[in-house]
Amino acid sequence: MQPERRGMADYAFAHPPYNLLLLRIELVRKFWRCEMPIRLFLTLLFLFLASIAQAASEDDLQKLREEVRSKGWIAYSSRSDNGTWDLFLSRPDGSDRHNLTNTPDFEEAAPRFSPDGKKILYRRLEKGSTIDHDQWGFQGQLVISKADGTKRENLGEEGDYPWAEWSPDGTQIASLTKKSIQIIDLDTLEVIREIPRKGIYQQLFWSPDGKWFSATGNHGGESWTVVRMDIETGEVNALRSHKTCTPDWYPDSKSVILSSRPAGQPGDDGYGYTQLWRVDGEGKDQEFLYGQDGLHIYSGAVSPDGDYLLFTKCPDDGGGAERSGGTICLMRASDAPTIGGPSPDLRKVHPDVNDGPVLDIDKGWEPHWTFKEIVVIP
Amino acid sequence: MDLQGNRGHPMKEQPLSRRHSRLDGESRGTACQTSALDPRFHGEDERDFRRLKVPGLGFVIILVGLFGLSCSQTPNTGEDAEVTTRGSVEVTAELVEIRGEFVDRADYDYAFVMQYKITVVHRGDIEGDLLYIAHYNPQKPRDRVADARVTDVGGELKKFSAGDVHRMALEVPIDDYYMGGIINRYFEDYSGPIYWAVWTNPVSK
Repeated sequence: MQPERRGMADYAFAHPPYNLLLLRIELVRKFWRCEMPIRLFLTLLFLFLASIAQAASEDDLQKLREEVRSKGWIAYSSRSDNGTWDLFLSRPDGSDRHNLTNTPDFEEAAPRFSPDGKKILYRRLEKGSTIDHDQWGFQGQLVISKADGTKRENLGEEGDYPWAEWSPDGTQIASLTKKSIQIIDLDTLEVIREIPRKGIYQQLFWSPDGKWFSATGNHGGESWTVVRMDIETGEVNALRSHKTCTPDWYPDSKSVILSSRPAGQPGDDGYGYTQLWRVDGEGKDQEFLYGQDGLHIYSGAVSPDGDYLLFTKCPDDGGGAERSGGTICLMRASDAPTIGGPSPDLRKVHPDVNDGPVLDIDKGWEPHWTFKEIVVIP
Repeated sequence: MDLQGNRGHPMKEQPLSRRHSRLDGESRGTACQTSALDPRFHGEDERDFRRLKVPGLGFVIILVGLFGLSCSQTPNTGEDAEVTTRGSVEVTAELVEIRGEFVDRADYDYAFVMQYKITVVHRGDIEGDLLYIAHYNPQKPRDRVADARVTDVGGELKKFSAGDVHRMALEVPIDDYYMGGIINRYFEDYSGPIYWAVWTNPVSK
């Protein structure tokens, strides 16, 4: 048996899928062959090292919490105790959580702070409506309120102003309709400009410098392509194709954060898992930010200073909007790329990652960040 | 009674080769001569004769019936109250090509562009004889394809196959009528308008 086992070990150490397993088996065997005092010593040493690693990891997380705690607020949708979707406000580390809407008779989703952080817009749906992760911009009624949730104003009827998005100065909204992209004055609610949508079909976001839209659309014969539109000329260029969606702008208007499910992944019988990426406005510079085998990463958003990233992770493709969302997470932009969990498939594709700390904030969907201080009356 | 269940019937007592030879005219005559002596034998021979004639006659009747049925049926033109009133364009066209595979995901909604050759233009103005038409979720039968995202599509067609002829109510350009993923594998070859299939019925060739 001995020569055979040796041969097996030789094979295993030469073949990556087996070498770690065999190494572990050998270590366990050697461990049990040791004298009792040595075994005890090794056990204590292992526990000591593990606790140091755990403490270091917890220390990293604590540092990150303290770093972001005072950096404004995040708003997001989450299931409240009454079972409906409400809007919540919390510090970026998840502390000081408030229910902004608290409406058991409605479902509220997808809050977006105005650029000055004084207001939010969101969609309000009939109670019991299922939020569709692709269609939510068409669902329900558009509501604009103060950032603390007060002074709610309903705009139009059910389905009006689809995919409404703030202009950089907060005086207008852009809306993606079947006929065109409309720019609407918020004082008069008049359409002041219409731009052909050029194949864009969902998730419209206006760049902070006011020059661009990013959105998901058909481009170059490919569906599910994140594109950038020059608002002045209406010209469109692709940023990233193939199963890519939910873009949002970096504060410098030069890049977008987006979700993308690259082809050729072995996970989920070849369906793969959606990852978080940054892509520049020309579609040339593409950077993997975060991913995790077994989980789909959506709802990417960037802090107003560009230093932190928000996203959700969820076993359901689409971010779990149809149920209770995913886990809202926060990481430093400088820690990208980071891979969560063991993720052996993803680590093969991206072997050099930072594995920075990632905060779990709350269960929810579509977070958005402002540095504006908001006073919430409990 | 032997092991085969024969009960000493005159016919059954004949050698096997003899019984088989009754199928030709000479042997049948011999059998008739034998049957003149035995009425039971005569009756069985008639039944055998009927067995030979009746299935053949039935077959002919069925053939004639089918022929008559096919002659009496008018060919399916695909015309109905929906296809003639919906959309701004109505054509009968042959599905020339389905380029590539459909997307094999039940939860993935999309429109798929197919190439058609026009046979008849019933309504609307169309230039050229080739059309590029997008069908919503093409793996579903048309009578079950409408959903929350796309409510105004339908028809009688069950399955798309190249070479088939369809009568369709169409709209153009597609962006004015459909908002969602479009798989267009003709993008490199064709830059003209993509029609949106509102109603699709099968047509007999």
